[in-house]
Amino acid sequence: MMAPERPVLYHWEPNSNPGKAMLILAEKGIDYEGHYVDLLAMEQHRPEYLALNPRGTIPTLVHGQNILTESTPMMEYIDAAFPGPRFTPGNAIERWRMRWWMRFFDSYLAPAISMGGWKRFIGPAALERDIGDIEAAIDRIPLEARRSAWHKALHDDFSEAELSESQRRYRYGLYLLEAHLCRFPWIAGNDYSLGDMNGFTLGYAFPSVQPDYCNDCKTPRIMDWLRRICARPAVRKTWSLGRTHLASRLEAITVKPDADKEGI
Amino acid sequence: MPALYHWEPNTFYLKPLIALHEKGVRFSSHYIDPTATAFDIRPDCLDASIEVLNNPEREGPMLIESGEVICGSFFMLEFIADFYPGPELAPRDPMLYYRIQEIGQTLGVQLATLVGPLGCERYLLPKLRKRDAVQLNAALSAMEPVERRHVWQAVLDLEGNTQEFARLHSKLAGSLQEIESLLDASDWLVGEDYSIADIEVFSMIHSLPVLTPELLHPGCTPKIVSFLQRMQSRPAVRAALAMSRTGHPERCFVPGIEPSRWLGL
Repeated sequence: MMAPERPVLYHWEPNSNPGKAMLILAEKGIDYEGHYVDLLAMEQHRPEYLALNPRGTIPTLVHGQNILTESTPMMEYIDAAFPGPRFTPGNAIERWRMRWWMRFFDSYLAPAISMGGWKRFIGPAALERDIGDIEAAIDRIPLEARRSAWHKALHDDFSEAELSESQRRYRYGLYLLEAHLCRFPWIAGNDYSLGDMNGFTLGYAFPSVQPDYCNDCKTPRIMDWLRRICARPAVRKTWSLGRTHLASRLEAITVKPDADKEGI
Repeated sequence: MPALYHWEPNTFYLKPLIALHEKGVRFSSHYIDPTATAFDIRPDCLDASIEVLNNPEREGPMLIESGEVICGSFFMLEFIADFYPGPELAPRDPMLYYRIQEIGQTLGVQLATLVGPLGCERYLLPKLRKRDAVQLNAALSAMEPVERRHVWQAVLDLEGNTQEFARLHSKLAGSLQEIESLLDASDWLVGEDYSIADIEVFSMIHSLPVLTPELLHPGCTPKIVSFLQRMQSRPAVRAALAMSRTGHPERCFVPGIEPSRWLGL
């Protein structure tokens, strides 16, 4: 294990990629210097940030001489390089399972869900700012795929085919996850791991943004899994760092079925 | 004894073959031709072999160890490095391990999306053209999961699409330059030692001197040329390539579900 130096984390909201690094740092009880990079103000495309992370993605972790920009491998790095409880399973089959699922969350489910997020939240929120500034900032984005996503979000230009495929993937992803949680209590197997943290930074929003598909009747095991994670002090601490209303989506998880009925 | 279900030693299928040989693991080899299983249109045979149905990805290598189905070719490499005794194939240093995962997640996926379609266009498409179009479409529309259907359809759509072909070709040139830069500092892609990162990248590019010789040659990518020679001189790599039944593994491509699955929308 390396000598612990105080790491510096550039992050946005406790959501998706930035949330992964914030949550593992909190779970391990690591003291870090946090810098909030306002994604909606395009701060991730400013020269000083691009000097650290030329792709302009969030988060970035600086630890001594090491600069890390890929959020999921970053979680494994943090778990291995710092003292504290371990969240990587000790069993190789469970490590394989955890990694497969993390890729599934990152590359299959996240893009499907984020299309709705860009349409419903990021586009409208960015439009509250000066459109000229935003357009100019978009033109400076290094990654073509990101530039395209921002343009579509600003002008609500997602095609029906894209939205429909994104919904299909989302529903299929929920189906696979529910089936997986019938087999195991946690993503890797018997214990809470990086895989659960990764999935939670995405999944905490399922019940509030897609209540018709993710609820106590249709996906009881996912709801139970979300509640078990939500009860962890590190989760509460991490989500308290949120500055936008995204963080409030955590509360939809805690609403139990009976309370739902009372509400109706 | 672990069982490996695989096809010709190229791209996704080559990765676990090399890693298992490097570790000196005895395994039972089960050869499956995905071009046959994908397009066998008799209803009772459509992807019906138990080996294929057991593979959640339906295409690509599958390793059975201790009753568990291990799939996903990069994660399979991590698993083999992790689980079996024998020579170290992955560094213990957390930052070097991060670099390996970064390569698997970015360069590995990128290469799969480029090399696969270009190889399929050259070698698989002519075979598909000979099939009856109605039967081909019927087989395609029955193909599961949907992501796999999409990548096979994308191969058929490459027919005559010079613009898409040029785009893939140009992106591949960029990826090769990225690999050339990674080899600036060392003979191997991560740190000073041979690792699963080298197996990952080699498996995806070893066919390129034949497939796209204009992009990979001593004048343009000298470090990659030396890297391929170093890899090919390893006994484990030779043993893996010798498992070919066609004698030309460098001509055997299927789209593979992984790029479609992992590239998102």
